[in-house]
Amino acid sequence: MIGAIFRAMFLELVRDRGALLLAFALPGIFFVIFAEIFAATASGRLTIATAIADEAGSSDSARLLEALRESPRLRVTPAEPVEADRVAELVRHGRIDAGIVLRAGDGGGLDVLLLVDPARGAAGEVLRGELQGALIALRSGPRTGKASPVLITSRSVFGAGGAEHEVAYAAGAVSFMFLLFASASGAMSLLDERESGIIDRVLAGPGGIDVLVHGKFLYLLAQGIVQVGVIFVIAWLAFGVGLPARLGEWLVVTSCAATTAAGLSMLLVTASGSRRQAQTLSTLAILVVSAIGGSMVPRYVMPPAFQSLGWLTPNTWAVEAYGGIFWREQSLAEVAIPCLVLLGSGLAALALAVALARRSVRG
Amino acid sequence: MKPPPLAIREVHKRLGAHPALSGVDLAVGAGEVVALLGPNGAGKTTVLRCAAGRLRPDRGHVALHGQDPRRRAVRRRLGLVPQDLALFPKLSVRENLEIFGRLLRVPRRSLAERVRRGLERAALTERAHDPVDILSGGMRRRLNLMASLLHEPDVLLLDEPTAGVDVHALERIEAVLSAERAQGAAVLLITHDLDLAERLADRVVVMSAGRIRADGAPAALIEQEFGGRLDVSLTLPRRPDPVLADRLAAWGCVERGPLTYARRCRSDQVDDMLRELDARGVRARELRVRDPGLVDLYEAVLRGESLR
Repeated sequence: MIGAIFRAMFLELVRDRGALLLAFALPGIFFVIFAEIFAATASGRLTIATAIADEAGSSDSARLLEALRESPRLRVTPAEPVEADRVAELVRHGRIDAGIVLRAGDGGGLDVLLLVDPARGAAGEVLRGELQGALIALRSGPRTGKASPVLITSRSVFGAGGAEHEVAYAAGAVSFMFLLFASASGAMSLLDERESGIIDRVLAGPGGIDVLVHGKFLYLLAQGIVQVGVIFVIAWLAFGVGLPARLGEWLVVTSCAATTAAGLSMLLVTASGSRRQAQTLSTLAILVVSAIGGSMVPRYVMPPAFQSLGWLTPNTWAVEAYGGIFWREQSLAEVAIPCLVLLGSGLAALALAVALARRSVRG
Repeated sequence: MKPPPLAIREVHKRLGAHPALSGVDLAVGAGEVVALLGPNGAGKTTVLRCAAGRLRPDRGHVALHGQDPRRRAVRRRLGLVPQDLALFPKLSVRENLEIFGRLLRVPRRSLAERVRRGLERAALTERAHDPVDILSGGMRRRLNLMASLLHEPDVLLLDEPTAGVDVHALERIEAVLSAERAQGAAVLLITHDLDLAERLADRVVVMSAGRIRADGAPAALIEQEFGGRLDVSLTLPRRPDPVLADRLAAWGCVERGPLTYARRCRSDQVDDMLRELDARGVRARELRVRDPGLVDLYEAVLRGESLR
């Protein structure tokens, strides 16, 4: 009987091109966009548009200007210095991310004023970092002959590269969010079947509601594994994420993640009175847990309270588990806790869903 | 004594504050078709849901072959045809039958043969590979029926299986139900199609407000209600004078339209009435005489001229 439900759900999906695209193509596209953004940040491909006003007109300011123009993280536009007011205007109108005004300081030094848009605070921070690097280089140069100050550099604890780690993060984070969306959408077929009388027909015969819920759960589990698989294959082929080397571990983590998504989706649907209710509830719940759980932005940029709340979401545990195997290169034993949390919450949700489904068909 | 395939005894059921069933007593024997009639809200579907084990009666009991239909093993012998089209719309006709066959626990070894036979009985063999959502309403109704027969149940519960179908589909569905009866199935059929009920049912049960108002063979109930009287409709050539108007009233004639009067009476009373009209020099422009049918019985019962 479970096989029959599995087959019905599979064929309904395969015959519905729109649903098929939403289940498998859209997450892939969404992932590529996220991966590109994350990879750009990690690999230094992120460029800040800036304009510079040189009011100092000194040789130091000219050298600094030259150093900034050569920075791969900056795009100086226009290339030639402009008036300070013009720089402020360009920032205000969003034509550039942040601006620089170089002024003659006391004692022949150089004062640097950063003009930032609070809405693009991160751009200002990147520009500040680049400026500091360029100033340090300027002061340690042959002209001044001063002693070189302490230079801070960074090195990845995972060795060379880094972009693939960010992409692996995006793959885990994005795929889990779409896993939740696809599972919730698939689970809603139970409500359609209740509306159409299919459940009445099945329940009037020898079948029970348990078998319907379990059949749908198993189908959603399989669909979830395939869906996450598509995203990680893209991550492997397009971004070099080491999927083949960690295939076994990936399968275990993905099975646990898909169990959670399928279990929670069945719980949400059996707790809902109608499709509209389930639709609204699932969209809201998935957006909230995805936002707090790190599927949209990394949790380390969140306030501490939100970072703590994240542990209550399955997204955080899924990201932890994928992070463990793909960028911390941990063994399965080392990611056992996130896996068990995912598996346990999925199975507990399934048990509750069965209980609710039984109650809903009891007269 | 062997219990009837379906027995509903003194069942009371409240749905919220509303008493949906109040002492419903009904049995369906093997090889018998019982049509359950009544207006919307009469409690017909509640009876069906109790019979299918989906609702537990507050009082009284329901038994399938003497056993509680809420037990899964007992329901192996039960088939329910829901009022809505309970089908997978994107799947083909054959796939629907195969999947419902499995869900209804048809053994794998006999599934292919049951599906083939089901397609044949529903006259859908040539449309076997078409998705359900391109079928006509009548075809879907036939498939909806067949999807509940694959496990060969001997108690069949049908909730308006012919709603919105054309004559051809209706004949097919009727033929299938007749065949089920011939094979010994007990059939409880909810329908608003009184012609179908009169043609097909061995017994009709009329319900209103959660109670059974009439129960018996259609012909016997009609005889009991109307006692061999005829429905007469008489159209006069002109307005009756006051004396004739008094006579019409004395005969129990009711004005049904311009110059048209109706009464229910024995055939000898029709002859007397015509003779008297003739004697008064009134020649009826039109006279219609017919035996009352199930529609008349149904209306009479619902008007409160209860047989029980």
